[in-house]
Amino acid sequence: MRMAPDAWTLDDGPHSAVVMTSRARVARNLAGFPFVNRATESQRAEIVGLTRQAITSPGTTPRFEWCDLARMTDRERRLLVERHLISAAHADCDIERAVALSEDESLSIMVNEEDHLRIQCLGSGLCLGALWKRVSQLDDLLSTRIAFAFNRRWGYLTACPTNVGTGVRFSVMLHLPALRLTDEIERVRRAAQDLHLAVRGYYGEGSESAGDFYQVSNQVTLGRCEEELLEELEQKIVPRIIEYELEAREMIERRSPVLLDDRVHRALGLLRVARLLGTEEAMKLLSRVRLGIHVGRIRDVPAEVVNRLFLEIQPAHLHARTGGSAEPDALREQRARVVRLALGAS
Amino acid sequence: MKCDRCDRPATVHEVTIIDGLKADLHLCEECARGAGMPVVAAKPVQTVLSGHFIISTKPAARSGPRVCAGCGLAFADFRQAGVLGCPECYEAFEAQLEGLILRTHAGASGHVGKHPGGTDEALDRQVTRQLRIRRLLQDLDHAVGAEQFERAARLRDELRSLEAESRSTTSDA
Repeated sequence: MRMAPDAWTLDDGPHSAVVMTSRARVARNLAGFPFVNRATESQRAEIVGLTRQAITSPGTTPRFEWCDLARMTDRERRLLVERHLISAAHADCDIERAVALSEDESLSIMVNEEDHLRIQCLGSGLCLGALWKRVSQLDDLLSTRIAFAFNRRWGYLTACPTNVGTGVRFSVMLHLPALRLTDEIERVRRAAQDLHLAVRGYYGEGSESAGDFYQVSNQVTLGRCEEELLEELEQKIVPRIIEYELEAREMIERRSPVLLDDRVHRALGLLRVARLLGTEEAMKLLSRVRLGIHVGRIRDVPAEVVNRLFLEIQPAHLHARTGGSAEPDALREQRARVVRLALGAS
Repeated sequence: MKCDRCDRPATVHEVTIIDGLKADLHLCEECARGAGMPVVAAKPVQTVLSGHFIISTKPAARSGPRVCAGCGLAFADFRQAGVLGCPECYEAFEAQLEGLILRTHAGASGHVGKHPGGTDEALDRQVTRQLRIRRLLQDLDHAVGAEQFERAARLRDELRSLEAESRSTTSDA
């Protein structure tokens, strides 16, 4: 497994000043089987077997590495959760389950999560169209090898009716520090909800925002085709949120340049000298440094370094890298050391 | 009180009475939105008191079955957990689910978009073949376990021919 996949480290995707990553995913279930929650242990094993054969058969591009989650260590599963390749629920449950990963980890297929298959593609910046193309091609290929549960009225049938129809979820991870600083974030959140969009925190469902990151995704999956849902989010809604965030950044630069300078440089200074850092504190400070880089106030730290740190400071990544103790205090010390090293401090 | 589906506080409470049976549902705002329940912005006094209360008797629910014949899931269990048991649940509980799906998906009443490759007949054939392969694999396991090798050989041949048929359909697609 790579230490940090491209989607996280590159800062070259469209609108990457505000959009950290984009993700497209579809939910699919095999015809003739109960959904995961109702399937017996042997049916779940059968689903894993059938999907493994379909995914790893010759002719699948790209090639996938098959990871049997039940046989991985907890630490390995946490690594996958931290890079958003599997959900926390998928990591923690105790059933036959797996994830198939493409070599660059941009494509992943969760098997036996809430649905039998969750095919997703992750990329840097705002790039939902390109991601959807890859997911859709893979979905087409798999649908020639396994029959998906589908009916004319409701489309692709999913365990939860909130995903029925296209089964598609488009989401973007937005970095909105200026809207947070100007207290405008609640207005954006309410407007998004009125447009039937879900607004979640950094870690997805049920999480609060950490490091001023917000995940915005479509809630409606039925009655509108995939392209329509994609176009609305990528070409209409997200560009408006980006515009608001950039306007808020400009306003802060214009009205309070010294305050902005102080905030971003103070954050960088703290990260360069701290000897103990908690995840939450590190996320908050890195968010300010990322803002400083994108408004041109911090010039000696590349954005890729900060993007990578958002991942590397998470507990499982930290533990995998340093191999030291997983005790909270030891992790805080290791986190501070990793951050100092990356930011060119001693 | 915690949300029935996550750890957040429950602020939306629904009491449903179907055929005289009472079913309570306590959800946080996000899960309630996800379940297609009408969530209105709370006025302060409502927030202080107890969140939103929705009390309904659902006439449509009376016409639908309580249990899915495909997987045995009771509709009351779906109301509690938020997930259905099998693809057949969509037909079994159509009457009860219709309103919920309409609310969740902004009034949409049917699917528009991708469908599995090929015609419906081709899909039906593929489903049937998949189910037959499953049954044959199970029978083969039993036959080998019971040392019925002649039967196992016959099953293996049948399986091979079905798999070949499946491959030729795939290459046609």
